[in-house]
Amino acid sequence: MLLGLPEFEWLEPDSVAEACALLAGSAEETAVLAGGTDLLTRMKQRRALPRRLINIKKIPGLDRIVQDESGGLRIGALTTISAIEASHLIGRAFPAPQQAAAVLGTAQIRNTGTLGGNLANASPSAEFAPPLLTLGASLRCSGSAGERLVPMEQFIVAPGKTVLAKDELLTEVRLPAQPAGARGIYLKHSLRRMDVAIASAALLLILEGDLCTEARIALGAVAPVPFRAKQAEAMLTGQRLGGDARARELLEAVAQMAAAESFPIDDLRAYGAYRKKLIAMLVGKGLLSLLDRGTRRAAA
Amino acid sequence: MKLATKHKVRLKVNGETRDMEVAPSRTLLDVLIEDFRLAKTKEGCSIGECGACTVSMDGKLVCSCLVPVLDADGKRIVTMEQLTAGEAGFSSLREAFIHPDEGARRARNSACAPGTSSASEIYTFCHVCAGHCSMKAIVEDGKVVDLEPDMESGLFAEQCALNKGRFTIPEVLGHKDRLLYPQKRVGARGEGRWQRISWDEALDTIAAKFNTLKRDFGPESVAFGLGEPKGMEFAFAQRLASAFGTPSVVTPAWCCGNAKAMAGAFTYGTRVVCDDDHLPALFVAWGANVNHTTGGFRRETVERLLEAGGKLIVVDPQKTDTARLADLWIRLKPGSDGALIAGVLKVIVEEELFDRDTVLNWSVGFDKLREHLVTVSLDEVERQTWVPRRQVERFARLYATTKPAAMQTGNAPDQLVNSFQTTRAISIMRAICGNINIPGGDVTLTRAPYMRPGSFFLLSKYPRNSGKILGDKFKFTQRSALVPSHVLTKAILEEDPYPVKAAMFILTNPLVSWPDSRETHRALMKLDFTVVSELFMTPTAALADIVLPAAWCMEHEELGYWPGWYEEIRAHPKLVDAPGECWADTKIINELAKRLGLEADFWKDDDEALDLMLKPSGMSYQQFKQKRTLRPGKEYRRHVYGTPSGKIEIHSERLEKMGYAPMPLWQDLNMAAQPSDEFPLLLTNAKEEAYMLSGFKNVASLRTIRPDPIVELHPDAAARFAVQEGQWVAIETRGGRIKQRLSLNRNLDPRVVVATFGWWYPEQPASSAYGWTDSNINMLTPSGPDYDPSTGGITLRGIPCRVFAT
Repeated sequence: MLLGLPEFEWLEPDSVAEACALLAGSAEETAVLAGGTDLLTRMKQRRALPRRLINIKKIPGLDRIVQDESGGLRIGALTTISAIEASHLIGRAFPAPQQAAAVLGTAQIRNTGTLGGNLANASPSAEFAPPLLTLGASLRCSGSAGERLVPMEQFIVAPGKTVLAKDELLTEVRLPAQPAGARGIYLKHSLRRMDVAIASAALLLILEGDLCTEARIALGAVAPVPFRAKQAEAMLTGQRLGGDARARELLEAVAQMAAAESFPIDDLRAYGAYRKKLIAMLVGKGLLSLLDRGTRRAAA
Repeated sequence: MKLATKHKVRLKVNGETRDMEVAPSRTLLDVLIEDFRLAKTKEGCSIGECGACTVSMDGKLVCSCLVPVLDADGKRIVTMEQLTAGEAGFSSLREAFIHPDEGARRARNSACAPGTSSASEIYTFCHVCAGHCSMKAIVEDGKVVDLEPDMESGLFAEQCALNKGRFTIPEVLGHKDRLLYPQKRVGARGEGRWQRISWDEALDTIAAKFNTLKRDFGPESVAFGLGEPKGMEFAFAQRLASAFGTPSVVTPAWCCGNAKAMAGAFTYGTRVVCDDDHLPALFVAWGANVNHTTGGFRRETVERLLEAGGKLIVVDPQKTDTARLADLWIRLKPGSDGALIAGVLKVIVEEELFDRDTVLNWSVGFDKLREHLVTVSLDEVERQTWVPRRQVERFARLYATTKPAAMQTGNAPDQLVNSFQTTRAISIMRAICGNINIPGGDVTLTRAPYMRPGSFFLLSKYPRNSGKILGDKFKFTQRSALVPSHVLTKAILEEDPYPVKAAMFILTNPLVSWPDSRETHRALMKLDFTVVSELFMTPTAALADIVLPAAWCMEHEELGYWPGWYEEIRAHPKLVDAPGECWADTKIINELAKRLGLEADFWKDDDEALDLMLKPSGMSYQQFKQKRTLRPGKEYRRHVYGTPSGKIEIHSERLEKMGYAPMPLWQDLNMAAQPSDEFPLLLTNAKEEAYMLSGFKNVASLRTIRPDPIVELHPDAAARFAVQEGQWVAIETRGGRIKQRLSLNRNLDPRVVVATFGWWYPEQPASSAYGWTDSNINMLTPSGPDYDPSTGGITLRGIPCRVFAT
């Protein structure tokens, strides 16, 4: 049968403060409605039944992309996926989140879904989580008592669960300016481009010539929460990554280590063992691609 | 009550502005369908995956099923209806709306894969449901990666709203859990332990077993259970059963199609189908949700009908996607279709709305009908159907006075203890209103030139002798050799009329799809020997002795002859290799036949049958592949009836001679079950849009759309029985108890429960046979003891039940 939405009360605050007050004062189950692509789906499937929806899309100023003085970016939580996909500000300095946007769902979903929604939904395969982890992003959480900045690494604590308090709203994502030699990439493996990731990886390397001073490897869909593969990262720190055999062996070992640090489950889409293989493949490919990009730039 | 608060909203749709007051839980799509009556913008998956509901909102494409209507306030909405107004078929522009993202739907190995080394586009047909939409398969590197709608050939190509064929086929073809080699059971039946064996060992074992049983207990001791045909496998299995000499062959026809086919045959000589070559002025969907499930009147035709200002009547206990568009939605009590048609006939006859020429010159028995209808009370019809009398009258008047009118009955009227008389009365209604064999009405078909299935099944050479298993019961079933499942389970369990010791199942999952699953389970456990051919492990396969890995459509050359748009034949070319050691069912049966000593009636290679089937056309299979399809003819020969009298037989002496009521009578039509104190609700179900019957619960795309089995109740019923939306609630009948997840629906009658059919859980352990007892609606259904005397049908809709919190 068709599944319409369950019944609910609709509230439409026009400020963050009002939204937080409504969240704080709610006796019954309440949910925040941004793009709604995840929430409304769960509601139609009767797996989530909030009886009050707080539509935050009328709150002004939450969908802007702004450069700050230090060269970082502040992206409003209501920025749509398609706006991220199209933004020059994001693309030129932070390619990984833009690559994630480009492979998220369908055009219709991208026009509707938001960055804040993707993060607050806190799926193990949240597309933006791995890129933001590699960028050291922080999330502005606004509540009745004030605001706080939560590092991305601390934001998602379990599948579907974040550190947001009952009265808090995620209002902004801050991307700090990256050092000069930073290069990032996001790769997703899924059966179809529009499908949920079976495995995903974001990588960021900071290179001075062929010396890797820092590496960040963030993995998605292969653990309860997106996470950084710190052991794999450590293998790259301080290493020279030229085109020689030793470097290639190192990259391969890093890819295998990243796979070993994952603990994916078996589900309908894939077996865990296969997902681990995919992580090794994605990390290996991503590293080669980042190094290759540097080579091409240097040659040009 | 805060939940009921309405909000003001201004909607601008296709240039029209409307100020409305709406409940917040309505989506933009709900309003577009129900208030703006859009027919091309459809509800498919409901969760933004399929794109069927796409609209442009302030210049951006969005899925209107995920847009709360309040979010559309003041925005400019443009839909497919405006952009493709007047276009007859499915067009590239609509496809671009639904799938704007070129390539996003292609199944590929990696999102960052470089170019492929080989790619081709091949025209074929979807085999997932009876709609058989024409498609363009995209094959890359030996894998089917996508199935686009075929916009070139002029064949019907608008895929089901949910696109389940498009999503399912690439996933099943490459699924991680496909059965890849033959296996035999290790340990006790149902333990879930298997050992790989070779094809030779498998087929030799099966043949030896079957022949031994034939020698010791007669060929009838070996049974075949068949599901809905996709290609020639059904025909091969029937041919094998004939050559082997067993009448113990179960197919779904007893609860799907047999009743209405017989009804048509006895009324006007043969069954009829809706004429989709001409637009009717009115279309009735009776127990059929044609927007989603099809096999008859196409969704493209519904769209054209509504665009042309035609009328739509839907008879259904649920407000289906099709019902939402209807001019008249008849919300009948489940199971009361017979009482409803009696009332409608009464109005047509007594208000003299029938076609005079047809009745006076081309019918027999009209006076008897008129005389009997005097005894039918419209107030009693209202009481028995829960349909207000004035709606019964409106239905009758609209249908009888709007010409031409087409009417399609779906599964529901075929799944009642009085299905034959009910569909017979509906046939009479068609006939006396003069809608038979007129353009835009319901027409007989002239067969396309291919071998008759009955001939392929070798029914003349080896008369089936269904009487052996049926006695003198269910005479229509005897004629068609399509035995009801309960007859076979009885033969297995009670050895009545003879013992059945072994069974082979193809295309079917009886433990989930036959009524009374507990009884079916006992029967399957009692069999000495069971063989199942399958794509995946299922609850039925879990109880087998030998499981054979089946190749699927697109993995071998195939002909689809059943059911299509009634009696067409289609080429389903081989597109990819079958994985592992999978064999097509046709090959399995052909090779088994040889080992059974029946090679004289089979072939060296099963592919040879393809040419044989096409022989009457003068084409070989290879030639036919270019042509792709042969469709039946429609001659619109008015007043040519293949009955003994040459007329419409409202009263049939032939039926009387067979011992059945010659004309539908109120006492035979009014047989719906009544709620009781113990079971105060009536249970019905419907085909779930997301799946194909009991199949594909392990296909990720589909399981994402519908992860749980849902049961629906009116909010008042939920309050009355203290059950909460979102919770798993128990549904119980005299037969048993299951649980499904509760959703509340104000469009239902508060006395009705709509549960979902076909649920089992591939992720549960094999040793539990994949959770077949948890949510499977056939734990609740009876397998008798009341039967339709002519077809062996039982009532599967409108079963008294209760619900409670678990």
